[in-house]
Amino acid sequence: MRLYEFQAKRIFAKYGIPIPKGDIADSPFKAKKISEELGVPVAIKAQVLAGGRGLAGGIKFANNPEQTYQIANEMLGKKFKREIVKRLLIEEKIQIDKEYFAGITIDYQNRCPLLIASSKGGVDIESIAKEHPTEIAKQNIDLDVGLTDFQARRIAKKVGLRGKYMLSFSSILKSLYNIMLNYDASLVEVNPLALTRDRSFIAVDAKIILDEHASFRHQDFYSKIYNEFILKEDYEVRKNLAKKAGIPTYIELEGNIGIIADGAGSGMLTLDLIKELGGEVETYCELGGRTSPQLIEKAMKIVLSNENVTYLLINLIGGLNRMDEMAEGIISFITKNRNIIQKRGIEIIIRMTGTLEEKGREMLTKFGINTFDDIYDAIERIVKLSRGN
Amino acid sequence: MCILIDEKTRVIVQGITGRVGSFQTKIMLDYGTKVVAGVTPGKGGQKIYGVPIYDLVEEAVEENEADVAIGFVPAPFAADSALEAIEAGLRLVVITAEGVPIIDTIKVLRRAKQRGALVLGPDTAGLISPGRCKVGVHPHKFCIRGNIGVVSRSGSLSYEVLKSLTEAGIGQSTVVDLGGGPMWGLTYVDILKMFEEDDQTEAIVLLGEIGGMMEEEAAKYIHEMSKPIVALIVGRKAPEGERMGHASALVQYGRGTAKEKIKALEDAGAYIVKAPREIPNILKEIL
Repeated sequence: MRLYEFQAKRIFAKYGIPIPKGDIADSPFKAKKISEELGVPVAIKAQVLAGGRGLAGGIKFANNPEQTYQIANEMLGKKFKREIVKRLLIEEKIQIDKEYFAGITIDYQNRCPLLIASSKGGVDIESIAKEHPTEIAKQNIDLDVGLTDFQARRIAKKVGLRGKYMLSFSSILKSLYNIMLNYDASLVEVNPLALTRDRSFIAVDAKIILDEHASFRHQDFYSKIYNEFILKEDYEVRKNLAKKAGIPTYIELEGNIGIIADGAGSGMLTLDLIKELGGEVETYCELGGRTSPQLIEKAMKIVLSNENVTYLLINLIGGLNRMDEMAEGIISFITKNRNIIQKRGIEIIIRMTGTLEEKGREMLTKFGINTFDDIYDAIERIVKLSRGN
Repeated sequence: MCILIDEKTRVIVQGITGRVGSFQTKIMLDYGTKVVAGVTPGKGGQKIYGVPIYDLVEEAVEENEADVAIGFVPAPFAADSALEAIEAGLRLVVITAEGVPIIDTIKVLRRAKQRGALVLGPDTAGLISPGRCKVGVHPHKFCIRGNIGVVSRSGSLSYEVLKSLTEAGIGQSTVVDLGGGPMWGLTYVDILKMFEEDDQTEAIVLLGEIGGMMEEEAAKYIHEMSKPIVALIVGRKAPEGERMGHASALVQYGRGTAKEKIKALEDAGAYIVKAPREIPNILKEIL
């Protein structure tokens, strides 16, 4: 889960990483007020989670409070990909002398944390790696020992820093590592980490991606963070409902078919085959291996609450999942929602096979629903229906 | 033969009294797997389906020779349970839990490397050598004994493929699910090497998906292999930047795409298919 810049910066400040002065605005008035209080030229930054914000016009500068008001007014409510800008970060504009990159992430191949730094900050690390491969300093970290002071100093030296600059840079690196450990983050990144004209380092941007699987270790923190996510669009609300229900994956695309699958691999296969046959998928919902009757019922409810979904394909190939439990959930949903199904002309196709399939199928047949055994038959059927033939 | 597990394999189930653990243990026992002991802290001394339960893995190992452990333990406790199995000297440790924190996985894999233990998973359906031994949750009605090795990153995708193979009368030597990632103990390369050396395996089906670089790594090794590989990659139509259900199935910054993986595998000489039902015909042609 990616944090907003303002959330990440709050954590940075707590760990002693210098950040620009500023505050959050959800209206042009508030933006103007912050700008007045700061009394200097400001940066106005859209708080969105999608990448490429700068290029898409999500970062602008203003010389006075009136200009701040005007820019904030234009920026709030604007869309970046599917995301609406609801908040702006108004900060003092930093006079940058040189831009560095510092980040810590997971090295999946070597199976350890990896510290990366560069003197060519300001662009994404992929571009740095491509254009200046020799200007990247790396350090694999042994979790038993942690990031040691000397390793941090060595990295600072490798990016060309000396004296007190080396020391303050390396202490920022240590903070990044501590944040990763203490918050179970899979990425903590500062880009750019600016060396200002008055010769100090400051984190102009901040990026933290949390390993949500570790949320059980940080429950208070997570509930605070969740509360700061403002849900405006219907799809955001549905996505959030799915998350709360314990549904591992809920994604909306564009079309009229909904997919509910009980595995990521079979789910992706279903998506591929439907699209390659000419069907258009609106929702991709994957239940994982820890299902229950309640879970599939909730999944059906959330997927079908999106009125673009008229054709629902439930593809079940149970290993861990029990088909008797799946049948129970499906029957319960349909019994409670007959009216809606009829009114909207919703078609539900079920493919059921795997663990306890005889029992599940028998329950559904008794209820008056036929199931498919073969995935292709089910997919061909749903694509035909969805294309009106 | 087959790889990793066979008739002689002796298995310990961790979390044997839980809802999933007990249900799956019963299925494994019925299949003929030698489940010699179970572990549930606090329930030592009891029995389930005739299998003795212990509080600690080391007690279970001491009293019943065992070489493989499978855990049906919730994600927050999965790392501890795997570390316990590694500590007790088991050869292969299977982690089924989905959603194990990445830092925990790193710790487990480090320890396994130090102790020379193999780890399958996390988030794996386990493995099965049809007709011989099953350590996992594969619906075994889709499996018959034969000479095709199957390796996947997804339980459910492998079930689809097994169904196609078995319906076409094509049996399998061993079926291994590496797990949903984004970090794995055993990798494609590890399993491919074992299949390459296994005299019962004549061809291998590799099931991959978007995200990560494991298929690309596999492709490098496939160049050196003598046995034919049939590969299926899913997530071809997945949107960029979205996690598709496995922690690893995410295309980021244009890397880890299906296109790149298919190209790497094709260049290495693998036969590429788009759907499970194409696999039996190709296998019949090449064998």
